[in-house]
Amino acid sequence: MTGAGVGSAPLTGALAAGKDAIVRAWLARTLEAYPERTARFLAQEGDPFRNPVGQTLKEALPALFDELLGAMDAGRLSTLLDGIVRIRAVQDFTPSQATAFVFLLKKVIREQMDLPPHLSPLPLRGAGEGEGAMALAAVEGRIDEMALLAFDLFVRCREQMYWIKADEARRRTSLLERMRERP
Amino acid sequence: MAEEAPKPEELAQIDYRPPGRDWREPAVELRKGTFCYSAAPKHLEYLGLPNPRPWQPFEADWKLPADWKQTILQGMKERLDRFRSFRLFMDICVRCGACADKCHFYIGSGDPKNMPVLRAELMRSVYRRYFTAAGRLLGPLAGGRELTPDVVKEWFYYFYQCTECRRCSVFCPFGIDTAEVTMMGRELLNLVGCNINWILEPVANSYRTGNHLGIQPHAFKDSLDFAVDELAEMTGIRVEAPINRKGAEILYVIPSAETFGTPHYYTLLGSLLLFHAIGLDYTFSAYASEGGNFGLFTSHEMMKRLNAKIYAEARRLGVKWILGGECGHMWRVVHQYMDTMNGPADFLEEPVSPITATRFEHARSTKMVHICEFTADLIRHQKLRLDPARNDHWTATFHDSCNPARSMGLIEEPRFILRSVCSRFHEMPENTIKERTFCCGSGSGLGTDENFEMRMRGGFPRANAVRHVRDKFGVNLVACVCAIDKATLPPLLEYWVPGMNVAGVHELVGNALVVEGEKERTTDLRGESLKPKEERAHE
Repeated sequence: MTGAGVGSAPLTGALAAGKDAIVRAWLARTLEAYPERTARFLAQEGDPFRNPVGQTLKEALPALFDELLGAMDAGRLSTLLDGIVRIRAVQDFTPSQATAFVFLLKKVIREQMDLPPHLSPLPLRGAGEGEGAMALAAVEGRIDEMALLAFDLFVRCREQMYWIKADEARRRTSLLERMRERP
Repeated sequence: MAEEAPKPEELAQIDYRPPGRDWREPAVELRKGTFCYSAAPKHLEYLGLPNPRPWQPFEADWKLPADWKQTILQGMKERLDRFRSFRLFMDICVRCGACADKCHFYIGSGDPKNMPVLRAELMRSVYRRYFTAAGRLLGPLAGGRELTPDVVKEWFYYFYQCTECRRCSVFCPFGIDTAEVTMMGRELLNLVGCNINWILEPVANSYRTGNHLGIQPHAFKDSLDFAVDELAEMTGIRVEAPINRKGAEILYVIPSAETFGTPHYYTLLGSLLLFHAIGLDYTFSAYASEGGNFGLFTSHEMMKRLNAKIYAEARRLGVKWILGGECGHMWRVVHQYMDTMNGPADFLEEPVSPITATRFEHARSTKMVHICEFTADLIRHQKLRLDPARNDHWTATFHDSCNPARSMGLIEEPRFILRSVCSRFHEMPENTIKERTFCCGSGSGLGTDENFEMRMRGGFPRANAVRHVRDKFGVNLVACVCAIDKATLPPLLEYWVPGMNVAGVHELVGNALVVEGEKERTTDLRGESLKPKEERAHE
């Protein structure tokens, strides 16, 4: 992934300072994919064994946000995203719905930073808003990287299910084959 | 095309939230991967069940019989009159919500109709509409719903999703057994031919040949002979595996998967070795060759029909009592239904261990004892020589299978055995074991491959607790006492906790058991190399 930090633009500092509020809003938006009653349960139940889905999100989203502002370490990102995507790969979501939570972070950041939702992130040559827009573009670029990784992981989970099913079928007959081979 | 492309500001307004839905709206999306396929007509014909025809749940037309509505309502009326429990469960729920977040399918899927209270409400709303005065008069205002073809599809989707594990009933202040609501739902669906192949094929096979796969007596004998040969190679001891032997003291009934499936088979090896070590006078039956009873997942009549063969064989063979193997829902049938369906078995004797003289008073009526109760008693009386170091390649935990734990209270015996035969044993968190155990997500006839996604959702809470003990204690083996667990936990854990192993309790007993005359064990019962004895002793 990108490697170094996202830079020292004022935006980054503001994002770091606003981490709690941003992550809280990100979690809330992510949970909106579930029916209202379920979203409430996933947000409120604190026991990790009674609420493994909510707990996974509550642990992974802040850590992903740290990576966004930090090193974007590929190994750590994979582990964190896999925890979430693995769950969503077997729930009632289409591939785009399953990975949409990453893109929601863009929306949340713009809302929390009081940026218009349709601000062009591209720095316009000579335009006054260049530096801020450049910083936002860098952050959103990283979010895109996360989303691509999430999509890879989603596909890997789906493929894994097919391998496991094939193994399951083999396991069902392995003993019968051993019996048949016996003289 | 170009003028229809959304503008950036419109794109930014895309709403990821699903549209809100009223739960009373019955239409379900039957997406492949989340439901089981229909039963083949030949199985319905063999069993004499109504409306055999080719159909699939993902097709629009389910080919219901012309009088489907009347049939279901009449069936509901008969069952309300016949089963007091059913009427009570329809009437007494106060929607306190204690059960709501206890279902593994709700926890894993987030689908509100998997909250037990709401799943039962799918049926209660129809009950209210047609069987209560308020519902007949006021309809939806009194919480009633019309019975429509969409409701039939909704029932099929959710009642063949609930695994009848009864975790929710542990938390219900009224003691409502939500599994029995599911059972009634499935009975009513069966009246109009809406059933699944993974249940009815085993039922038809069990009815015809005595076990789920339809293994005939000669093949059943071949399997046991194969096990005897393999045991001889591993231990140097040739055990007996008597079949249909009249006059034996005990009839031993196993889930048939032990004769052809892995890891179940290693449990069979362990129990064969155990019985040899203590010189047990017992027999298998090639006809009562299945402990499992998928009739439980079909209808009470079917459950009775399949269960009867166990008593019939016990009578024919002239045994004194019955020992049951590591089977899950068999114990729900034995403890909660057998005695009133096919009992009392007064031609049998109250079970007494021939080795320790322990009287199994709790089985006075059914005459059937769980092998873990039997073995725990042997260990308690120091009748077995055990070398737990032979299981040192395992760090074990115990998954309480739903039915033995919640339906018969088999909590301590398997743990006592595991602590005696393994040096390293760790419990999963308290609210995920014993009577609060989480289901494997594939019970009640849903352990097939077409609903794999649903199984992964339902099994997530269990797998999550396994992952916890793996990370905390280095657990690498989940021991359990249910054939469905042994079949479905390996793929579940492969998805959520890769590298985890699954074994029966008596496989580990067989590993640790020191049998007179055996050669030095170089492998465990799986044929995997053990460290030499001297090295084990120094660890």
